[in-house]
Amino acid sequence: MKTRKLKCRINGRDLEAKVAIGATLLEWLREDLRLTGTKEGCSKGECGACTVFIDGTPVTSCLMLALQAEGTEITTIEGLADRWTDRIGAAPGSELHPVQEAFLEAGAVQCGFCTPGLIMSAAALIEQLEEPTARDIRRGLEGNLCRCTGYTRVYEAVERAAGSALAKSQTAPRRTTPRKAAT
Amino acid sequence: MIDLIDVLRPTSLEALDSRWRKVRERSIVLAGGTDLLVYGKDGKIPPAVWLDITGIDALRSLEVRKGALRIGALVTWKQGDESPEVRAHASALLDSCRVFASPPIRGLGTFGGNVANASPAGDSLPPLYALDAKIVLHRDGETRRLAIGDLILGVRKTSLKKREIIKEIRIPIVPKRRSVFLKLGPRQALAISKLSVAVSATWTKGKVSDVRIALGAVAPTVVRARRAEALLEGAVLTDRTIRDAAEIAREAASPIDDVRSTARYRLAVIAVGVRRALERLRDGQLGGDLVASSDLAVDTSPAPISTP
Repeated sequence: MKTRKLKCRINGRDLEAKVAIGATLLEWLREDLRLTGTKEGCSKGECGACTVFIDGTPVTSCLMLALQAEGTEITTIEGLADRWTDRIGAAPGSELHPVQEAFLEAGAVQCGFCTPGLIMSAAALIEQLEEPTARDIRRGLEGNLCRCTGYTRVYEAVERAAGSALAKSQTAPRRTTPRKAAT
Repeated sequence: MIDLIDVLRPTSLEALDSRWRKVRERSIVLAGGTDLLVYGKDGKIPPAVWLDITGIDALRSLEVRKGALRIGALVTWKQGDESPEVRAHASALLDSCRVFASPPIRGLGTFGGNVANASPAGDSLPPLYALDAKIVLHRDGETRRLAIGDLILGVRKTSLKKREIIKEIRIPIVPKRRSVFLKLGPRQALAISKLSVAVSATWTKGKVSDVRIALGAVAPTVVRARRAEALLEGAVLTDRTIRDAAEIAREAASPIDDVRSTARYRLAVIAVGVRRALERLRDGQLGGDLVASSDLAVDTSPAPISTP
């Protein structure tokens, strides 16, 4: 298959690579870049296991051609913690993203296959809504399917994460203007 | 891996025009890809040259200008969901953003793509019909405009010419107009509509005029329930008038049995959907209007109807 050059930024690093023109972003991430944290669940965009950020927006990477990521900033699960430490001015590798911490504390992981996608969607949610309601959390995660947990601990984890992220971002040197959710 | 001949990625409309003219093989336009890639992976798209238009920034604008809300073809559902302009002038479209697909699909999928796809159950379509949307098309440096009802001809069939793309969706700004959309599906998200309803009307001294009732997923294209609209023209929206209109609205539909639902059920539930939509319209339960705060990412609209 034909290949073409792709230039993008991935998990904080600029990259120029040759990609097969028919490759999906998911295939390229997993097979070429060996970033296997992002999973293939359904290949149709319905399960959310393939969720990554393109310029901070969660997308289903199985439904994008890799070439469509030209000039964008891609964040995969592997890069989420660094994106967070960068944001709050902490040293890279010094802490996990609040959502990752909260999933561990809340016991929100069973088989773990849906977990990266859930964490990405949850991280985007609490970035956008610093005090999400229970309904906001359900809405924000409605594109990520989990067969194991029944979601209860997942939702608890996200609530917990929102609280701690809010606290951290208020004491950190750099922060965005808070946008409060209505209750 | 998708089986395709080539991918072209022009970064301007001029480049699109000149490069497309040189393509001899079958070609297909790629925007968000949330429908196209599913078909592509299923092997349902014969090998073609894919024109990836997502590099054309001119198609991403979203603004109010000269009395119309202008939504570029590549504006995503997520952007629509977060747009103060959509909330203010196209409340029904905002409603559809809240219940369409799922967040990561909304981050990728575009309004232009939803229109070009012309699925009978496309969720942006009833709102656009109810809001009298015009679609601006681009081909070889020229544009033309069609009412959305003239662009969409049948199931996945549009009057788009060869090498023509959707450039923009234009919704006229009408003061004192309200609109509502709701859908019926088996789940709160990731559900193709069994029925969808968009209604809009303009208020003058307690009476409504320019009533629009658009039904989706119950005919080959979105249909307007014109007898029901005529019934409400100049009337006050009461429980009685709403109920009467909802009953008559069924006449406009020609639903079929398919994997999602049956004709009989759809016919029965049209009256319920139209009634609820008109009630929300009357009672001011609009997509963006309920919250004092300016935060737009919060869903305060009532939950979509789901089958028990």
